[in-house]
Amino acid sequence: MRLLLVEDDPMIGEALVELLHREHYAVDWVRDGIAANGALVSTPYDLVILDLGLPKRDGLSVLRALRERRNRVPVLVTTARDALEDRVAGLDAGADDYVLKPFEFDELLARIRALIRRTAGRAQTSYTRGGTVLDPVARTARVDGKEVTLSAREWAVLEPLLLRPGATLSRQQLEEKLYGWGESVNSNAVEVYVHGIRKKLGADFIRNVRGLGYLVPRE
Amino acid sequence: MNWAPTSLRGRLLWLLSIGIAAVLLVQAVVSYRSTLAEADAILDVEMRQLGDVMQRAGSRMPAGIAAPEGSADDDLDMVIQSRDALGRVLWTSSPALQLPPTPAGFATALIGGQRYRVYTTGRPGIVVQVAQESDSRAEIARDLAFRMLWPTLLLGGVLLMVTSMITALALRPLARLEAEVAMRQPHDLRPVSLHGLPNEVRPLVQATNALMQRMQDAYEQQRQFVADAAHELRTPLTALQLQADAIARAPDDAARALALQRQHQGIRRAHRLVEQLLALARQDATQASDALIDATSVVRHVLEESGAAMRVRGIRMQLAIQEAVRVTGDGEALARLVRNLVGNAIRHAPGGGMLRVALAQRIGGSEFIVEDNGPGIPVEERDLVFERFHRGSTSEPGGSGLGLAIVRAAADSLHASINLGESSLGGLRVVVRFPLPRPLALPHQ
Repeated sequence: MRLLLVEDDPMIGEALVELLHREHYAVDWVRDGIAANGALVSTPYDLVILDLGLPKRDGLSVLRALRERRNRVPVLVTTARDALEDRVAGLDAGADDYVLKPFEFDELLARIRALIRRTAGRAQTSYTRGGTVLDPVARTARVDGKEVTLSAREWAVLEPLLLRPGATLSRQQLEEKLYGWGESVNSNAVEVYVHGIRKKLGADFIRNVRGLGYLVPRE
Repeated sequence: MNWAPTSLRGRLLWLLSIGIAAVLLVQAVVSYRSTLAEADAILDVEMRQLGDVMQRAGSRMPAGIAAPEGSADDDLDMVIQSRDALGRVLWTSSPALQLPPTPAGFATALIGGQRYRVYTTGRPGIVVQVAQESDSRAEIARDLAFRMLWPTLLLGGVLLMVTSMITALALRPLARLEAEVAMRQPHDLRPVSLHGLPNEVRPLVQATNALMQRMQDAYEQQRQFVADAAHELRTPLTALQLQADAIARAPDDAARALALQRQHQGIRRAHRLVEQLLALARQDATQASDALIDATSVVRHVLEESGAAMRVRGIRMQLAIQEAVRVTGDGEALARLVRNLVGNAIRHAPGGGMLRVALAQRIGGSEFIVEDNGPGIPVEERDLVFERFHRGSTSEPGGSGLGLAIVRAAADSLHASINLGESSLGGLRVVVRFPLPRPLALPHQ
């Protein structure tokens, strides 16, 4: 999952990038409205965390421009403005959800997961096929009733595939979900994690589509 | 005892009543007296006519005949007596009473302990006397005079009623004003309508409206400040919350140590913001002062405070502080101004940087100058940086956005002007100009 974090406060940005990394999200962090707009034009994201009070160009204007481009990426607005009209303006401009500062990281995380699920058209969080039951929210995996532990990176590769079972994602698409800007990309990292997942969940859990990429079959 | 009522209406009624009563009293006294005099004159005329009639009748009037019709009134109690040249009584209306001889015309005689008014007339051979008890004359006159007073009393009552009604009518705009103000909500500081108010009250209401407008502005400014402050406090609180989350989730000791160090920075920032909010609130509450303060010692004191921060960052400072520079105003406000300008310069100068601080007496005032070799402030932002919570493109991260707002507020209270420019050191040059201390200032300043 690749997220764009738009936040001008260095301390909040620093803390969020670190916390989100630890939750296996790839995070790009920009600090002003113009940079946010540029990132949104050039990179496909799974979700945007958008602060409204930004230097150079304010968050609402970035959000409106994004929706005018028919970009439907889910946007989670964070702001310190708590007046009703501010919240209404944010949602009207095309925000999908709203969290008021100060917030706890757990709340932000739950809202991120809910938004990603909703965008994929799934209210249900778990995935079941054969004897394998996966819950990406609780980060639990069971094979024939036995608990299996997957690493954060393995979850990061698995999650986009589980969101759209039956759909093929290229190796490059999966790499983008793994790494934010400035992180060194290991050229065969995706293969390594897919290999690890297959060892734990069964060789045919993730299928190769020759020349195109990977898919997880429907339940 | 306070007899004067405090209500305008009561006061008007009270004073008008006193006035009316006084006028009516004078009128009553004058009328009583003139009625008395008139009654006296009428009775005299009566006596003289009676006397003249008796004199013409003379000795032909048979003794024992009833008194003439004019004296039939018991109240009049007239005694008529006629004598011949020898003093023998020819005829008397009351034989029991002997009238003493009296000179011609009107006179007063004491008969049997009673005062009588006697009219004496005559012709050769006959003297006619008409007498009347003085007391009963006075009684008649008083009765008459008192009867004349009743209309005056009635008039007084009617006048009072009319006065009271007119007063109420004339004061109706005031009653309306009172009702309008009495029904106000505590925070409703909209101006009171001047419509239909008399000219006498207008200036008062206008002055009150102006005061309410100033209160409204101050209230609005305060409300905005509290809203801004609440908003600004949320950012450092969010950072602290997330930094705490990062500590709780740290996978190892190294990560935890880093997260703790970041949280310390977060706490320092929140602390600084609270300090600056307090400084601004205190500056807003500072009363204008005309005390003479020693600017030299205030600047020296603040520079001593800042010494540690400067040494930590390895910043050098050039000083040009003139002795005994004095300005008028609040010493705390001056300290706040100096502290924020010097603090800003220290924070914006690069490590190992350079600061220049000068305080000097000039013609028509004094100047305090702080220069640094930091990034400066772009020309187009120089007006905005004094706004509360404004953060410019060259603001240091984690700044409160209040430093220059505090400087501006403090400068305003000291009647000083601030000028931002470029320093020869490469960074910002702030010049604060103070007017001459007030006792030395020329009258036109």
